[in-house]
Amino acid sequence: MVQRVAYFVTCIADTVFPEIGEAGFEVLARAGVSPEFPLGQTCCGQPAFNAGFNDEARQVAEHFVEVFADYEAIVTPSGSCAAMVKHYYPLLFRGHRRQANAQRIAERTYELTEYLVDVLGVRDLNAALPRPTRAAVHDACHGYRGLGIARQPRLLLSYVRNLTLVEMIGHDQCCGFGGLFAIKMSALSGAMLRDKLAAIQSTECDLIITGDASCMMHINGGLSRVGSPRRVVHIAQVLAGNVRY
Amino acid sequence: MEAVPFERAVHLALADEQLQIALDRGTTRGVNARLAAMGETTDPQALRHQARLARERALNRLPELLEQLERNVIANGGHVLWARDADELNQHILTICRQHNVRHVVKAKSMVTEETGLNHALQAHGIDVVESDLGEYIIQLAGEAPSHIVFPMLHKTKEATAQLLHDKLGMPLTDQPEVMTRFVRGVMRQKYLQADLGISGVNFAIAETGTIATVENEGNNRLSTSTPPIHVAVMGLEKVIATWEDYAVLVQLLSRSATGQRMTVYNNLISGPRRPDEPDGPEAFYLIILDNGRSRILASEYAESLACIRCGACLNACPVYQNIGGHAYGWVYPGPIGAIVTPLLRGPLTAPRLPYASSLCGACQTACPVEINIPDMLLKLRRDLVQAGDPTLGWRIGMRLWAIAFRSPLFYRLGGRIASWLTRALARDKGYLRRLPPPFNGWTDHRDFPAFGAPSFRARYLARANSRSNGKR
Amino acid sequence: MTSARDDILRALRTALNTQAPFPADETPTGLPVTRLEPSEDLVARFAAEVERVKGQVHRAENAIKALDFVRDLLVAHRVQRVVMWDEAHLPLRGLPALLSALDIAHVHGSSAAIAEAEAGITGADWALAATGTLVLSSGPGRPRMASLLPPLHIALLTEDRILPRLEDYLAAQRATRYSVFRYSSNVTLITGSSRTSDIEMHPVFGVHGPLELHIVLIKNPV
Repeated sequence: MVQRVAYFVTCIADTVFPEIGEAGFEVLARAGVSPEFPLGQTCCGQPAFNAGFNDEARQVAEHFVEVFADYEAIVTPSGSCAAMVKHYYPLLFRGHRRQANAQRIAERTYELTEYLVDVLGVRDLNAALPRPTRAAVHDACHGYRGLGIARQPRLLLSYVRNLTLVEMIGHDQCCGFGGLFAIKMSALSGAMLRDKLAAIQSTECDLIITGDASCMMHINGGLSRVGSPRRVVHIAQVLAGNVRY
Repeated sequence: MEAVPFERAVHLALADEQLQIALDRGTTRGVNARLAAMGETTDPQALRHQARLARERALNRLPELLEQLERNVIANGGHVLWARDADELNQHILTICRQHNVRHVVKAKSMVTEETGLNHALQAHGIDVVESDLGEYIIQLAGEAPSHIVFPMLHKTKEATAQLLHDKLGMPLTDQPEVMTRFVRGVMRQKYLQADLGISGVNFAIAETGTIATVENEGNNRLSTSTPPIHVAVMGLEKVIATWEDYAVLVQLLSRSATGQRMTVYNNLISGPRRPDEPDGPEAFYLIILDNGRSRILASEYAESLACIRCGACLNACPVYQNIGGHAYGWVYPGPIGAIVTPLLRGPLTAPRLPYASSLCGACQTACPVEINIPDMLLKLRRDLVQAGDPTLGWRIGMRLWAIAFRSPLFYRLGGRIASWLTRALARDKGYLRRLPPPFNGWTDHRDFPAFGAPSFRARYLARANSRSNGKR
Repeated sequence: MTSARDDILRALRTALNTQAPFPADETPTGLPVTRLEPSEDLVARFAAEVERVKGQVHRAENAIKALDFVRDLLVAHRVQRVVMWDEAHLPLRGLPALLSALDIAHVHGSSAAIAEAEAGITGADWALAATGTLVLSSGPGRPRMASLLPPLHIALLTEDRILPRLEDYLAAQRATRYSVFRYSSNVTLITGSSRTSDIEMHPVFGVHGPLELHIVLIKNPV
């Protein structure tokens, strides 16, 4: 089944962590997909939407709907962006002239591991870590609860050589990012981050793997602040065989 | 108006070591108990859905079910009163007290009476009110408000409890919960036997027989509604359900979600006052049905919040509640459901921070036995606040600019390059910034901020595409 | 001046006219909540569940053994006063004589008098195996206080009253058009002894209700 697949890199994997953007693209290539990268893409609009600024969110989302209009599948290395498009675009565009387009886009958007496992049926991406490593998954909230993504990343990781997967206690506990929540309610966000760091601390692992760059940024910010040598990496980097830790 | 500004309440809660210990113990137990109890049912997800449907059917037919309930309560020999708001409810009870010369009231747990401030209203008229639930009694002694729907003294350590009982009632100091409990049992006995009137809440009101159902473990609800000659039951109007089949699934999911029990020790099904041939029980039964904003909620996009069965599971699961406890929410209903019903019942501008006090992680929705989509309602409340002009000018301008930038590929790329250059310059090869300028300094108060990578993915993609096409030539 | 009742009902009807809030178009499946195997021995399950909630079950082969159990309990707890359901509502004969023989007073009357009793003896309408629950309804000769005020509650039950689950009990009531709720002001489902976890989520047994629940489970005569 050859679909016209577009890659939605997300603003954070484009500008903050371009190596994640590359890793996601590489992984799709390894899986036999030739994704297109619509050059005019920007952001899904989630930051404004989460803050209650629906008009502003819709303006940005409208651009997204235009840019990705002609594709049969839109794949993104972010559970939260995928959830934004799949769950909230239909709501955001209700009664809007772009409603039908937005609905179509919502039905065709996938998170990366979801696309690989559930649509392409991929399992082994021939990936390996540089040395024997115990790793735990942090289940990013929107992917995990919003899209039900839990089995897919673990399945893909089970084929990665040199990787022993362990379960973190509180693997599904929110890291505290929550978008602008991290700034608006920074003390609360910081407290939740501390709980996450404590869970990581009590798990015997060298590496934490997650599917959302925003969680990665948040938790790494905490690990760096407390001087921990451990790091969170994005699952795309692991699957692309391109991860340093 | 918030009594204590929310941010300040958060800081106080985070700094309170005793509270943090109690919250940790309490919420962890609560979560584990619920997971175990739901996990061992026949089909947890299917049952949650059945429970949801039961609530939806009831809400869809609220007026006719309330009328049916009323008819049946009256047929059983009870009285039904209706209260549009908190004052009317309190007035009804004051009138009953006056009519029956009531001096001593014993109360079983009722969130609705907290909502209306009933205790204060009664006490202001010289009527003595004693909370009979152990946790509620202890915090009543402490002069505090409950901090959790199901475990009102979740915020109190056992050491603090023992000290309180020692100071107020002369109990010898102990660290044994058993000893403290026995002591309170002895104190309460007298209250039950002396009381002129007993007040209870209602977990469910079954319309088809005019029966009110309560759940409890201690026996205080049974006692409060059996020894005094008058029983007044208070319910929010959303508590009515259509059938006994609905009761079966709802009451069992309630106890499994709230305390991890298959059945609470006592499930009481009360259908009016004692029958003429019964040897004990109250001679008079009053059911008071309260609106206080619920009909308004039913007409709104937030009608789903009325499905809540007050189990408290969302509180235990919420990482925000786990960190700040119930008092920080500023009113009777804390936690995720509180963050929604407080602005809905009292007006959005009375609690403008609560809808933002969430990372939208969804743990509440997953925990809810009736599948309430709390995150979506929090998002809608945020939207409402923005439309009501709540955010500061700075935020509104900032968001406007952000939207302009991010819907234009050109401005987006430009903004990205500037931010990338700035962060790298400020980070100076460390890879991380320790301090961001306002308004972003909240981030770096608690964690480092990464220097952006460069060049962007888009630039790298273009470079590779160009070199490929160059290579082909 | 409209009444509160009129205002509220009108507001609700208006709310539902502007938008019927929920689809709710799926029919209830009646899926029972508690797991129970079809071939499971209800009596064994009931006994196990009662123990789980810190009640005690004394299995009696016959009426004589049942009376022995009751005697032992009353003696062990040094009971001097008992509040009891009328014999007509108990599945066991001979209790008034037993009480006399032990010089135990059968207390009636006010709650204050009953509050002095050390034990309460009741029957049960039904029992629910899946959760170890007793169903007691109030009525003539069946005071609520017997299972509520004294620290010791002795419940007499025959095996044939054990139903699988709450759903089965309610189905049985439905078959009688729920007449129990017309005739009885108070139906209580009792699962174990009174308890609380209010103090630091630490379970404590025996709070306001009875501290101990003993069920004398009598095998039906063959």
